[in-house]
Amino acid sequence: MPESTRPAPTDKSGLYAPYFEGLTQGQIKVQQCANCSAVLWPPQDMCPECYATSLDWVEASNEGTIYTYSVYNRAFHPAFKELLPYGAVSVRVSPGATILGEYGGDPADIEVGQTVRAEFFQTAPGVALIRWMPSDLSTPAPNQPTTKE
Amino acid sequence: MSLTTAVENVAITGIGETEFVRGTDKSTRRLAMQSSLAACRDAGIEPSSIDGLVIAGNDLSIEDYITHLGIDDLRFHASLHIGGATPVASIILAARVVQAGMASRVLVPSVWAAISAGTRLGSGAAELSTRWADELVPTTKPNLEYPYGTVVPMQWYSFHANRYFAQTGADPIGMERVALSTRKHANQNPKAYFRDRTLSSEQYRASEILVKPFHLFDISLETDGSAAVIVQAASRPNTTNGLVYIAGGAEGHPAQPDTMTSRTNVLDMGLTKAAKHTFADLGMRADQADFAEIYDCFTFVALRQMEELGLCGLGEAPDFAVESRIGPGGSFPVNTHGGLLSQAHVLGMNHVTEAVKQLRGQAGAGQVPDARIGLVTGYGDFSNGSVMVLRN
Repeated sequence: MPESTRPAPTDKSGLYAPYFEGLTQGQIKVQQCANCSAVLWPPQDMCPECYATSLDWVEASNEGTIYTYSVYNRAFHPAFKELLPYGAVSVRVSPGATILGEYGGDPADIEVGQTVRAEFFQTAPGVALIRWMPSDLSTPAPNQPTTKE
Repeated sequence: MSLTTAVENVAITGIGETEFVRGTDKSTRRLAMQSSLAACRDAGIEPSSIDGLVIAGNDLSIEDYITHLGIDDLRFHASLHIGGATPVASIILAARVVQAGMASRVLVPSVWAAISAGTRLGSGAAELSTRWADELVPTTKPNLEYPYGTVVPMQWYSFHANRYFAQTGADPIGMERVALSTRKHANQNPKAYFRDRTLSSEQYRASEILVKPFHLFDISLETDGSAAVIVQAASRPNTTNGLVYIAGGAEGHPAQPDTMTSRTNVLDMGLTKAAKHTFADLGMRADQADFAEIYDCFTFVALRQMEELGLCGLGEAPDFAVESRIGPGGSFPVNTHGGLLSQAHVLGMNHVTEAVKQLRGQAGAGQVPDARIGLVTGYGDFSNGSVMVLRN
């Protein structure tokens, strides 16, 4: 099953646009309140701390630690059948967001607390996703999107 | 024990269930009407006299219920959608509506035809899973999760489970204990889908791990069925059944209830708040109940609720959930009907109807001796929670 059949993000021009633009440039961007500096993730329309609606997008770290994860031995979308077993990890990055991405190493090796670094891969023109690489497998920065799958 | 009541003198006076099957010719609507009629009959009321309706987590409309049940004068309706937490939350709402005098005979129906209507969540049919989740949270799911193949509940909840086991060091054997004890309850219940199928430790351990850490038998059934209850003032009912009072209850929600994979605290559950309010209102602890029907979409989710109800501490549920406690004849029986794991998945309304049977002394071979107080919980979507205390 070709990579292109993977579900594409549905909101590339609205609330999530800066996030998906960032991924194509090798950056993870998250929301930060322009008034009180609270970090908001997932993105939303209003700050829940001070109710400001002026929200900036700031670059988060491309390196973080695995907060939680899963390993899928069965695909619930046909595009993932050939990728099994599939590791998905939620990574805690500075300045304080939990970012889901796929795991680039052997899913059997995933551990909570493990340090990982983001790589970015293109799934369609203008669409990039995150692959979290364990430190012993990650390539040095800069991370640029590649079409390699 | 004596119990303070938060809700004065309101009872579940009627319960109704369809058959619980996998595959039926009956439509979702027909199943819902069948259980609704059965609940009216059980309460001894005419369906036309229903004057309140709380649709508990299904897509049927008030028009469906009014036209099919011939309801003459519907004075109140609501439709709640917080996943598996809905039935208990809906009954609490119905009880408060009766208490406030806004309606006197409130029908609360749930239905899920997972097989016959083609709405199985674990089917692997991406269109179904994504359509369902899109309606739930139209932004986080398709943007942050589907691109990584994360589309169904067993995947979402695994993020909670894997963090929990890593953080607490709890023993995953707790999941097996819940699966096996629940199946033993089902083996005593003629209405359980798995009434004739036993489950051994060897079978459990040999089953596929579909999504880490969930074996096949950690995951609930998907079935076709409906269950409904009638809520009335306790002074009104025209029924020969014993009264089962709604003593109190509450719903609760976690922070960031729109995602399991991208939030700050994946262990945060709405039940924590709901239980705190409920037990404070009633002046009781969870372990003072005689039994509990705990929402068990996954064995793991049942374990976590035991902790958040206050039956044991964080990380201790695997030790709490031994068969001598939660199994048939145990000191604190849990899911005496076989639960969602081994009876049927009716969104947890079957937990409510079972609790009523227990408190009426009508639970058959699975009857808990001298049952006076029962807990029923609900769990839905991304850790919404609800809990209700029933007494006779």
